[in-house]
Amino acid sequence: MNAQQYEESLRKLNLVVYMFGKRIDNVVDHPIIRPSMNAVAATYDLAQKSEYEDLMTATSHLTGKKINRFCHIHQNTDDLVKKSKMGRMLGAFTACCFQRCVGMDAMNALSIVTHDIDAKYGTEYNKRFLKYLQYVQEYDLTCDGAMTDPKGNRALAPLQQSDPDLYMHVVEEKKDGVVVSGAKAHQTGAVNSHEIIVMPTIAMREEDKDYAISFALPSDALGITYIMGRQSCDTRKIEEGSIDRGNQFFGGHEALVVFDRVFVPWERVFMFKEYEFAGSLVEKFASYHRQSYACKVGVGDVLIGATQTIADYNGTAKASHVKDKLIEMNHLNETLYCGCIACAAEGHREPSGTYCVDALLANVHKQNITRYPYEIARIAQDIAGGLMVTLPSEADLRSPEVGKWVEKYCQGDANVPTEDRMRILRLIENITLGTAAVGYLTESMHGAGSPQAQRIMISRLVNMKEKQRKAKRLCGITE
Amino acid sequence: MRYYRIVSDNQVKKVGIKYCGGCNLLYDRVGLVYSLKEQTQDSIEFINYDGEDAEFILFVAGCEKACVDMGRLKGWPIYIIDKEKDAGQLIDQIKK
Repeated sequence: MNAQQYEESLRKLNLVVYMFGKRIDNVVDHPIIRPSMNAVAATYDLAQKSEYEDLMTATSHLTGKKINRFCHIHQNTDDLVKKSKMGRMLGAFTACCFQRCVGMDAMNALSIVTHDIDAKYGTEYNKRFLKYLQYVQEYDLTCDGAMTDPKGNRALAPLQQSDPDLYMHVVEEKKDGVVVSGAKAHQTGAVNSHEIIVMPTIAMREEDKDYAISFALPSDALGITYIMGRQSCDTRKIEEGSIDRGNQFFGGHEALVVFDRVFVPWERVFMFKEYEFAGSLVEKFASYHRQSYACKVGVGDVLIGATQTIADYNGTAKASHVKDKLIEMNHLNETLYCGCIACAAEGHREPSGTYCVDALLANVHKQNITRYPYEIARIAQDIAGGLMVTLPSEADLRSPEVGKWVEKYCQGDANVPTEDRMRILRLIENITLGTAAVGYLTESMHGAGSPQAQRIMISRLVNMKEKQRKAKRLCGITE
Repeated sequence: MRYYRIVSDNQVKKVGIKYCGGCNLLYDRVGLVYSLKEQTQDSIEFINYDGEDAEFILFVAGCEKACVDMGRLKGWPIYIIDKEKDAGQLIDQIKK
């Protein structure tokens, strides 16, 4: 599928989408949503280009056909490494969340866990899943991987919540399928997706088995409603002009996705009450998705480039402290890159045949992601200067009355047009505190699990006893 | 530059172009190929890398890691460019 075909395919969906309290009739062309659609479209567009196809495409292990890598099940560590590299490349191309990694991560996790459930119970989830996967690959679909439940009171288990719908659960079992209710929060790219793949949000106990459900549905299935999340500076996208948007082409979006008694046919169910596998699915998905934050390295590339540019425009590029700060930005960004490459290169084969990243290194990588983009953003703002947040609007620049004053007093290096200086400042603003900061900063903090989730995993995955043994041997302690 | 083999004759050569994935480019690969096409238009016809009648594959990598799925290159002779100055050397060899 190419980008144009992707856009046309979205027009055929009958999504129920609300924003600012009103239903949106034309989702694809809505000015606040469209930049996010452009970002997903880029994943189709670049797959058609010879200069990107080696990262953007793969060979299906099911059919042997060339497919978009976002529909691929990793067959070796080279696939995992290419996934990380693809993330950086697309992050740098769009400077935002391109939304499609979450579906890829959900499918790879399900390819492992459905196999494991079948091995224990003799069920046919893996067969069902592979049939679904083949459908996704054949039509090159964008899938939303939906894990995060609203969760209500975090101190309480699903069954203890005051409202059972705070965790996605089965409300009715039928001969031909199940009926589910609940919601998935923070769903990146939800209204740009053809399919939604639902997974449990936490490990479950036996009493919570009605909440241990995984399935896939068309995104416009009856009973699904999307409520768009707000982003800082989002309405700049509906203003005249383009400078104040920062990023002219791309953006991200998130939505609260409500499932109000939604029917799921059995052939689309991949887990049903096998509660002891809920935690495994969460961990596999989380490991893959923590790797996926390779994209922030690409966004970091753009922010570093923007920061060097504003230093040039401000006339500060030769100052030694500015040079050193740019070195620090690069050091942090490449350190992030090390993590996403390492967890991929150290991947392993699961019993299903799918290759999975090294979970410890993936968690270390994501833990770094919760921190370094903030420091990179801080340095970018330091070098950009306060004008980034006090700059008059594009309308003022175009004003017949005050435009000449904006032009005159917002100038930096006289060889650089004031408008160019404004554009690069707006891009830095966009990434560090505007709409794109949702993806570059807060999503880096909480997406794929908040920082403490990674610290718990790091604690579980390191072999502390072995580290102690090494230390004791060297200093002569015998036990 | 890593030279593998160039078929030498007096006819226009058909060369298959294959790019790396482009994750972290150190130069403009596409711009370089465009420049190559302009400079060699009398002696080389650039075609897609999986074209059956390519004499060799020109693999254009964005950095010295030069990663590519070699399985897709079907055992053709491969000429690798992984930095801008390689292009000049390639042209020199073609013109010899």
